[in-house]
Amino acid sequence: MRGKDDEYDYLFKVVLIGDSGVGKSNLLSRFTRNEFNLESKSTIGVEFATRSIQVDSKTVKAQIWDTAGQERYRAITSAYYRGAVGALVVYDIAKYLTYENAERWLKELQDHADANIVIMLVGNKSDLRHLRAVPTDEAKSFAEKNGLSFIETSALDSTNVETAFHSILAEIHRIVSQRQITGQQEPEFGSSTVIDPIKVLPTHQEGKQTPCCQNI
Amino acid sequence: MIDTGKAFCAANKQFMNGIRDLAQYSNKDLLVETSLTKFSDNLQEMISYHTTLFDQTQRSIKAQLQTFVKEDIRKFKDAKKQFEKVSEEKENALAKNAQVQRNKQHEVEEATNILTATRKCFRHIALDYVLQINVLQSKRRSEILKSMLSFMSAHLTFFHQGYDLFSELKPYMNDLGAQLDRLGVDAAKEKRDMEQKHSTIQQKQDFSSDDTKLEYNVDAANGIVMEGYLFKRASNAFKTWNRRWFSIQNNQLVYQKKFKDNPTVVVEDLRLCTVKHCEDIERRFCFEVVSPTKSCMLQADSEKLRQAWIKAVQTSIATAYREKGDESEKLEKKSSSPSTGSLESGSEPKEKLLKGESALQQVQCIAGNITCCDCGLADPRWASINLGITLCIECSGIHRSLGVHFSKVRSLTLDTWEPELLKLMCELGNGVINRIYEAKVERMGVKKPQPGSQRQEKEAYIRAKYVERKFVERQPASVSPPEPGPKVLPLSQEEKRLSGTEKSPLAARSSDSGIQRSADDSREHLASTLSTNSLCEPEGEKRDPPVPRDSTQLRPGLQLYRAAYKKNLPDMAEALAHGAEVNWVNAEENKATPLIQAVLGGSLVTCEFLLQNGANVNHRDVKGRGPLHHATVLGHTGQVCLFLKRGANQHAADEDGKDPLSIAVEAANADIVTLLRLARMNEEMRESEGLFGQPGDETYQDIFRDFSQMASNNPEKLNRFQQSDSQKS
Repeated sequence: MRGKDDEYDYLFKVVLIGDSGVGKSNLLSRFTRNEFNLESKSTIGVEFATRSIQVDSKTVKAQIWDTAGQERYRAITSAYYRGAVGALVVYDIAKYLTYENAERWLKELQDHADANIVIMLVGNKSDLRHLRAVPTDEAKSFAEKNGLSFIETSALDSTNVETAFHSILAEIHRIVSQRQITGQQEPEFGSSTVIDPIKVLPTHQEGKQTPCCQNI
Repeated sequence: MIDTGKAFCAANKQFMNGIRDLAQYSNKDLLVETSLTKFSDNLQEMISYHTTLFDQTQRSIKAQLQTFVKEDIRKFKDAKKQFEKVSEEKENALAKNAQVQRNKQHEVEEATNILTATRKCFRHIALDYVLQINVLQSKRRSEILKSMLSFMSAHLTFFHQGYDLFSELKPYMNDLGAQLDRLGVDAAKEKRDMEQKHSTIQQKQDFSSDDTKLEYNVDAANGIVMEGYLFKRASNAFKTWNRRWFSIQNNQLVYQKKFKDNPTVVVEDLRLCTVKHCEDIERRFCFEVVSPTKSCMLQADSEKLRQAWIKAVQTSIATAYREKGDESEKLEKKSSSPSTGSLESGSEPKEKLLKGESALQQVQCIAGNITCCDCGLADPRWASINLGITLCIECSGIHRSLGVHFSKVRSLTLDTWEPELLKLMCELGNGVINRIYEAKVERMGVKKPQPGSQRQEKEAYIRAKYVERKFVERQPASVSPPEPGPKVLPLSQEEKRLSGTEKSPLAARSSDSGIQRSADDSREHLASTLSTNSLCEPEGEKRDPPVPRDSTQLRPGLQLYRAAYKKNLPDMAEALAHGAEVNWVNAEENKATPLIQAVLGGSLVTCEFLLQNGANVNHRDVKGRGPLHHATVLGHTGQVCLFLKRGANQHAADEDGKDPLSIAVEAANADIVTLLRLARMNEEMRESEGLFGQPGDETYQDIFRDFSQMASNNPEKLNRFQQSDSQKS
């Protein structure tokens, strides 16, 4: 019963985190179902959706975990982050506080997620130009400082939603395929020329993530 | 000078504070701390003396000289002014006198008079002035000397005080000096020792410079066979290699991230594992530990170390098998020793599972569980989880042959015990079960098998006991003492529930019809008759109020049904022994089953007991609600978790067309929503099994394990939604 859609080379778990109301669920629905709902309700617990995309001629299936932003709607489990290889930290460009709280969400990732998790800072609702409260440059330099990639999106008018997910999945794929060690599939000797796990490009901070800032 | 002095004091104070800080930092070393504090105290005193000294200097010199300058000099200046004025007048008079012409006799006289007067006055003033000068001179000398003297005496007191202080301190300093000498000698000795050791080690290491610790010790007192650093490959997509401190202890392979962290268990029981070299990987010195559930890739620092680790694991596996029988007591002691105690008290519940030993310990503590339930052999290591009893290995084999609908056998040492199952074992036990299943043994003159009995004899007995249930009291056992207390209470609770929370008229009616005849009786009376009826009265069948006439099958069914709500496991076991149908349907109460009653009762263990005895997790009542619906409505997170683990179908909708997920979303119960969605996602993932390992699967298991642990160990954590629920209803 496996259809064409079910075949994939990689399965990556990506989590969406950020304050309540920044548009995580709409980013997810825009990416996975091309839907947008102006009056969506708060997410309770967690929601899942998947979509497969092509990266370097490989099929990458993204399993996206959309978590509740509101504290009282979050389940008691740190396992939201377990096994996650990517995270989108989302804020609302029209609400400065949601941007300030990005730091808290980063801390949460530090505490619970894999140290190598690929993190992207996402300023959503870029369509609200007249209400902008977070300057692009400020967020960009914050992202650079923390070794995150950065993009501004609009789930409402679809701007950059594809690009955001594609670039984080491509980045994960790049890291994973470079690190891939035999034993999973066929112990090919060709791959054993790669001796060390990849060198992550130097970043300003702890050298955990590769900065690859998107131009907007 | 005074300012500099003050600056000196301030600097001194800072230095002192530094010493204090040092003393505080070295508070582990008593000697250093006390001496440093003492010195700093004394220096503090000195500084305060110094401050007084400067104060005095200020007062004596500055103040006195100032008054001298101000007062006396001013007086002197006044006198000087006066003198100058008068001398000017005299000059004028002289000039006038000289100008006067000879012919004017009158004028000459006048001028001479004025001149004499002025001259007189001048002489007077000049004398005064000279006096003034003399006085000032002498006063200046005395004043300066006086202030100098007081300054010197201030110094004298200062040094005197200092002398006193330090002479008090002197004996202590002498002491300390002696101690220091000794310390120096000790340190030198230690250094020599260390150097010696260093050189010996160096000599030894000439052969293999990177051999850290190769020895492993199977009988190590602390239970740690071998420990050391290894690289571990992460199981996520990144396959990161992390250096961790690994150790083999108590048949487990565990590791710690940091020294103080609680160990994470990689392999719960080495007996179920194999270890092998791994050459098809680009890193060197790798080996793999494979357990039934997962495999773990590890890397040692050198070939020698790899060999040592592999050997250590293999030896541990071998010893673990040998130890299985008689050495287990020793193992138990080990596991409770302080060095490994951290395993039990671990605050990291994710990876921590109850180990075999501790399951064994917990279960054997229950009344009667220290010997086999059927033959009395000591130290039984097997269990029947649907009966809640412990068994020796031979009897467990016989139980297995009965089939799982009679007995589900698990090992107390080899199997992994889910927390709810362990709790179930602890609620029942051989004592309780034998009171039910062996009630008539003595009366019937049947001989219970002994540890040494023949297998056939045991087998026949076990068959008679559990399959034919020959020794169960046909009528409710008169021996088992009813506990009136707990029975009265739950019933009244039940009534409250029936009339309160269940709002449907049907439920209210059925509660009436169930106990209609005693309606005028007081509630307590009713409760007690009910309990005595169902348990002790042999002729109770006729006047048993809740049961309609003839059905012999219904009675145990109802008993099970009610006991499930009351969370009374022994009662439930008895009802089952009397042949209660585990999926008995109460036609008068919405066609609910005992399992649904157990959900309403709110206990996790009762649900598990019914499930282990074949309860249908998907049976739905007249309103189309199954156990999962009810648990969701009531916000019983632990039960939701259990039912999902046991295969509950979450897509079924009740008569209002609602499935459990939509109910949970409406109630905004984040935990239950998460569990339901996670299970849903897991289903989908399983349907479309990917080429690679399924991280969803692992996370799913992790999260469900988290919740199971929480539900059994700290249920209050999961009750955060309970309050808002009760407020709503």
